[in-house]
Order: sequence, then C-alpha cells, then structure tokens
Amino acid sequence: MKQYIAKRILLLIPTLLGISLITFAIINMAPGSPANARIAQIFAGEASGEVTAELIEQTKKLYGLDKPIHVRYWEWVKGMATFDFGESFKDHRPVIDKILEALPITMILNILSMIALYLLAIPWGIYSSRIAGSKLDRAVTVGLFVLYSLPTFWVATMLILFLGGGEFLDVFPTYGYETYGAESWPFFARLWDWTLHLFLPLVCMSYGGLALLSRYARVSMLEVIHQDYIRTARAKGLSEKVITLKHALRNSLLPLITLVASIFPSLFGGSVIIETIFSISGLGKLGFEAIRSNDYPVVMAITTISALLTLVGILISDLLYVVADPRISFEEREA
Amino acid sequence: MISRATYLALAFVTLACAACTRGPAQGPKEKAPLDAMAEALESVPPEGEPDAHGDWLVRSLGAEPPTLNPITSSDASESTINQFIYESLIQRSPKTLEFEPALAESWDESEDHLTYVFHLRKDVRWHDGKPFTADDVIYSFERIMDPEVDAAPLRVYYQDISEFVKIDDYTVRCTYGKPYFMAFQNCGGISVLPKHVFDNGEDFNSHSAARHPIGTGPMKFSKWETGKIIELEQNPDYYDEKNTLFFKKMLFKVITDSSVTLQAFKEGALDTVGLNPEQWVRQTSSKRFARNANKFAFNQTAYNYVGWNARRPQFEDKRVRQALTFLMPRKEIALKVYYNLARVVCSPVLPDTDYYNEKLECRGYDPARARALLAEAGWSDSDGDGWLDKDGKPFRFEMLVVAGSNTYEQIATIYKEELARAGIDMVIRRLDWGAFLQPVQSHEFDACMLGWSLSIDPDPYQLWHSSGADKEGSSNLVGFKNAEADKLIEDFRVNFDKDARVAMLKRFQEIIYDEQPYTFLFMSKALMGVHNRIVNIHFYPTRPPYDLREWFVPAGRARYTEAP
Repeated sequence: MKQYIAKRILLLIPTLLGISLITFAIINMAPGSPANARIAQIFAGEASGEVTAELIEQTKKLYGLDKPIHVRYWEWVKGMATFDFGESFKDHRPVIDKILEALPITMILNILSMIALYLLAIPWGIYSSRIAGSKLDRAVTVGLFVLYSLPTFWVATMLILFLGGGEFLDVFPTYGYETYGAESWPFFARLWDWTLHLFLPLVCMSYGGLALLSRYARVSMLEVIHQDYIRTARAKGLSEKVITLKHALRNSLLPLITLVASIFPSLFGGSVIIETIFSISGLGKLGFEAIRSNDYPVVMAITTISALLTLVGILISDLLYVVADPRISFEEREA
Repeated sequence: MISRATYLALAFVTLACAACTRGPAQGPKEKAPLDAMAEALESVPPEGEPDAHGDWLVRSLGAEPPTLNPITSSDASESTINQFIYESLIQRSPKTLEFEPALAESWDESEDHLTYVFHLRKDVRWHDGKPFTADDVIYSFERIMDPEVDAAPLRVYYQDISEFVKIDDYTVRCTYGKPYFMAFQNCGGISVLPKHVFDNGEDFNSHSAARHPIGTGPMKFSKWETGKIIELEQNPDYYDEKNTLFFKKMLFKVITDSSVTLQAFKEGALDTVGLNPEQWVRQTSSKRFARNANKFAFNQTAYNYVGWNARRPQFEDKRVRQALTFLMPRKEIALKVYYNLARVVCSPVLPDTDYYNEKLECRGYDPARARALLAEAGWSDSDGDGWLDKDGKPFRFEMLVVAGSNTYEQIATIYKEELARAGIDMVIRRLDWGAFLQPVQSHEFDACMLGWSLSIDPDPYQLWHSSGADKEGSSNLVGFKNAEADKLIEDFRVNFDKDARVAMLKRFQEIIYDEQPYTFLFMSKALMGVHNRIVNIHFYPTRPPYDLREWFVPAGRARYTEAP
C-alpha cells in the first residue's frame, strides 16, 4: 500500500508538468499579449505608431515576455520548484501572496458546500430509494431537476433580489463575507455575521449538485437493495432500518466516493461565478480577473494549483475505495 | 406519474421569471423612457449649513484597483481614489475649466511656449509629516520615464519633454523639445509621489507604498482590506481650506456585480450608485426609491462609433461610408438600446465646449439616400441575387464586436438587419477584448465597434493624422488620410491662440463629417443615484463630471457620526 501511494505521488509530477506545459502553451498562443493590452488601456494621447511599438517592447521586457517561449517555460518550472510563482503583471505583487490571500475563503466555501451537499443529498437519496415511485419521490425529483437546470448566475441574482434587502425581504447581506468593521466584534457575533454572509453563496454553490448526487445515491442504493444478501437479511427478519443503514449503505456509498474527486474541481469552477456575483475575493474571482487581464503568472499558478487539487482528490478517492471496500486491494494489482 | 401539464407549468414559470429579469431584448414600450427621463435631476442646490460632523461618504468600486500607485496603475478605480490622495502641480477647475494652482502656487511660461517654470508652495506636507519639495516632482517625472517602470501608457504623454529639472527646492522647470499646446497641462499634470517614501531601495513597481499611499491631498489613506474596502479619512493638516471636502471619511466597497451594487444602494449600504439604462427605467422607479434617493443623468465624456477600414476596397469611397451612416437608425437604437438615455454624435469633439462645431447636423436614417449614394459609387444588384455587388464581388464585410458587450451586440444586430434590407451582408464577429485588440491594432479588419473618451482639450493627431495610417499599432485604425486635415492637425498642435485653434478644429470637424471615416454613434448618459441627504450636487463637462468638494450633508441629517 505504501509503495502504491509513493508511486502515485511520484506520478503526480509528470502529470502536473504536462498540464502546466499545455496551459502555458495555450495562454501564450491565445491572441492578445499583456504588453499590447497594457498600452491599449490608454489609446488616447499623442503617441505615433513608432512610440507605441517602442513602449510595447519596453513593457514586454519588463514582463519577461521578450524571451522565447521555451526559455520562459523553463524559468517558470524552475520557479515552481521553489514555490516561486513569479509576480503578477497587474500589480507586481508575488503571485503566491495573492493566492494565499484568496485561497482560504474559497476553500471554506467549497468545503462547506461539499458538506451541505452530502448531508442533504445522501440521506434524501437513500430515503427516496425506499419510497421509489411514490408521489413524493417523483415530485422532489422533478423539483431537483428543475433546480439542476437553472443557471447559477440567475438563481444568485434572484436570491439577492428577493432575500437581500431593498425591495423585498431583507434577510441576507449580498456582498463580501463579513460586515465592515466586524473585526472588532465578539466571536459569536462575528460567526453569525459570517453565517449570514455565506448562506446565499453556499445555496448557489450546492443546489445544482443536489439532483445529481441524490440521484446517484438513490440509484446505487436501489441496486444494492435488490441483491441477494439483502434479500437474505430481510428473510432473516432484520428490520428495514438495519438493512438499509447497516448492510446496504456501506456498499452503495462506493460510487459516491469517486464523485468527491470529480465534484471538487467542478465546485471550484462554480466558485468563479459565485465569487464574482457576491464580490467575495477568493480564488475563483482572482482567476477570472487574471484571465480577463492576461495576467499570465496568476493564471498559471491557479491552473497548476487546481490541477494539483484535482489530482490529489482523485488519489484520495482511490484510497477511500480501499477503506470502504475490503475487496479492493492495491497490493494485488501490483503482483 | 406527473402529468404533462405539471411539467409544462413548471417550465413556464421558469421561463416567465427569466423573462421578467432579463428584460426586453426588443426594447421597452415607448412611453417608459420618456417618463424616466423626466425624473432625472440636473443638480441639487445647497440647503442650509453643512453638518458639523461632516458625515461619511460610502461608495462602491466595480473592480478593485490593482495598486494605488498613480504612475504604474492606469485604471479607473485607481484614479477614483487617488484624486483625493495625490496631487499635481496644477488642477483644472470644473466650473471655469481653467487651470488653478495646486502644489504650484504660480508659474511662468516662456515667449516661445517651450519652457514652463513652476513655483511650488512651501507649506505643503506629505501625509507622514515630511515637507514636500522640488525633489519629489523630479523624482516622479524620472520614474515615469524610467523604462524599468511599468508605466508605458503614461509615458506616452511625456515623450516630448526634453528636460524636467530642479532649480531650487521650490522651483522646477519643464522644457519641451518642440511647441505643443498641451505642454503646460502635461508638465503641470504629473502626479507627484513622495521621493523619501519610494526611494528606499525597494523595487518601484512592487513598492509597498503602492498599497499604502502617502500623498499631499485633502484625504489620507487609512485602510485597504483586499477585495473588501478601501478607506480614506480627512487630512486635518491640509494646506488649502477651500479644497477640503466636507466628508470626514470616504469608504469604497468593492462590489463587482452591478445588480448587487444597486441592491446594496437600496438597502442603504451605499451613498451613490451607477446605473445602467435598464436599471434606471425598471428597477429604480418605485416610490420607495424616490423617497431615499435622487437620480441624475449627465453627459459622459466618451462616444462610440463604427470604424470603417478605408484600406478595404468596400470602404475606400467616402460615398459608401456616408451611405452606411444613412443606414444606421441611430434614433431607433437610442430608444431601443439606450432607452433614450444617449445623445447621437457626429463629430469627435466634446459637445458643449468651444471647439465643437454646432453647425454639423447629424445624418438621420435615410435608406433612399443611402441607396442613391451606393449606386453612385458603383454598387448595384447586377446579378439579381438580392445583394449589392461591384466588379463581380458582393458587398459583404465583417463587423468586429467586443464579446460580452450587450450594447454593442444589440446595435450590431439591429444594424445587420438594416444593411440586409439595403442589400449589404454584414457578418457579426464577436471577439474577447484581448483577442479583439489584435486585428484592430494590426489594422486587419473590415469594420469594428469601439469607443473613445473625449477630453476638454482635444488633440486629433493620434487618431486622425495620416502619419499613423500605415503604421501597425497606431490609433489611426481606419487608415484616415486627408491632406487638408493633416495640415490643420499639425498647425493646431503648435498654435497657442485659442480662437485660431477653435477655427481650425471646426474646419477639421467638417472634413471628418464629409469623409465619414467613422459612423459616429452615441455619447451615452451616465446615470447615477445619490442618497438624498447629500446636497449641492452639480455636473460639469469634466472627468469625473462632478466635484465631490461641493457635496455636503445639511445640519442634523448626518448619518455616520461615528464608526457604525
């Protein structure tokens, strides 16, 4: 097992390099150089074409864009090895500082919405497998699929409009993650303030996954329930509760574990929209703005970090498999 | 089973809700915008005495500024904040539009208009208490010109300065290599940074003072919480009482989404809000809104246009370009896209200033005249396929539009239909801003929709002089060449007699009007809501078009007397 984990971790390095190489190539080949864009910010003035060209060259040199692409990639990789992601083109701050500033709130949002998602979807999935075909089951399923199909930005706007003060109900704050001046509040007041601020973003980040995840839970539960050992358990006279929660649940959870790995990066993508709408300065918003302003170092760093998180997520879900299902063993595979 | 009817009902509710917020793509009923216009205020007169507490002003930023260093940052949010922190040698009065003393108390101009000597105030102190001197001015200029400094967009303005030197601690001299009518305002307009803070061995581009600015202005920087707020407070030691603001504190909240910003304003968490036409007409017309806020519509100092690349055979002939303008239903677009909150323009000069040529009458929508002009230029439907053609080639072109700009996309769609009716096939090509710049800068496009901002002192050189017509990266995107215009532009830049300059620029506008290198579109109105406890609000043709030094809250109506 240890050997397997070590092998998997070592494999991460070439995979990451591959991902970063592709990203590097794509952002550099995409039209629009940051140096040109910088000049184009101010088209007005009295510059002739020559002056503009000269200024663009100066800016390229400043950003290190005058070197050939393979040299730049090699420099980037060297920096990466020491966790030096370079400095942002936009404000010349070290990229790592900007990311460390933005990462915590995004992590909090994602982890909380994951928890909310699993806490709601799995129990419902299990319950609905037991009442499969009933009116309630069908109604909720339709409801969930309607939710699933609603675009996040629209739901977010609706929630803000109806629950965020102004014209209708004034229940939740609509921007940021804490009130101005909340630093000096007592702990519980601050916690409550955070709860209110994060509620709507969390709802928006989680509702879409509900349908998907509860469907998964329902289907895999139904599958397990119809297997022989459950029938045996039933025949032995065990209560329905014991059968579902003790015997069926563990096996039906297997597919859901793999989902953790795939849902995590997709939540990460979702936080781009949510953070932008709710003005939460997390990684999603940082990445979105970096892409828009051709801030290559920031884009590179964020892609690499989210690639790393995805890879680690996959690794963890593979390992969880072993924990959940004793029939799976990596040692055997190696033999 | 759930019946089909239930499914349909659900689907319908979803669609109906989507329709009620996304707003009408096909435009509002005609009455709404006119009524909405009537609500707009031009100004709010002063009322009583300012409150002794001074109150706070809470505003929002749509995007956080990258830094607060006015030399390396050239972003709108940065200047919104820095206009109160950093100062220049001179400033323009929004009321008279004349230049007034700021850090320089007086100045001398040489006979040949090449040398400007600025006499600096001796009583100015930086926010950290250190005295302001000529060294700071020279240091700031040197940094702008330093190729290692990320200030290329700003450097453009100072290329022609041959020397900027210190004479003594309180006198500096700026010399131009060749005469230029804006030399004085360029020399005097430099943002002055404190040398003693920046020149401490730290790298200028990433200097920590970019996030903790120390200036000389009426407001002092006090706090920046990344992604949340930037806070300024009144500078109690400010040297000039009449430049002091009534507000004790200014708070800028970073709120990226425009509907959230409006919501925050309605909640009372903001004192000002920028509105888009749809919000203006539909989301701010309630009685409750009117009880708390005043709505203002004022002229924005920018216009948008369609640029016709004259290097393309379709657009060589000015009659074709004129015809294309006749086919642009500007009045209809103003109503449908801008809810009438826009002004049709036909000249690249700021209206309501001396330079503007009032005699020009914008071409209206006139398909018959357009067809006649196109026929004159040799375009006809010779093969009977419904599309105009000339020399065997159909009239077809591509219109570049910045993706994500609703306004431009709507205008392009309306225009496409008009053109199709006249037998011209226009293909709309949406490109992301970064990608958009490439073909535009290399002049490899047919037509594009863009906007320029306008300044009170126009200088047509960059956009219209033929020297830029064949140079890649120049702003003469459309390849405009006209000998008479060139002569006027050159003379204009070196003439120091305003009346003569006005006459030249008026003639220049006639040429542009006749040549139609652009189809000029609109100056859209800027729309704003301001909390109604704030009074003495007036609008000017400057940027920004209002003067926050005038705004105040009458006695007894202050809202933030201490930290909330």
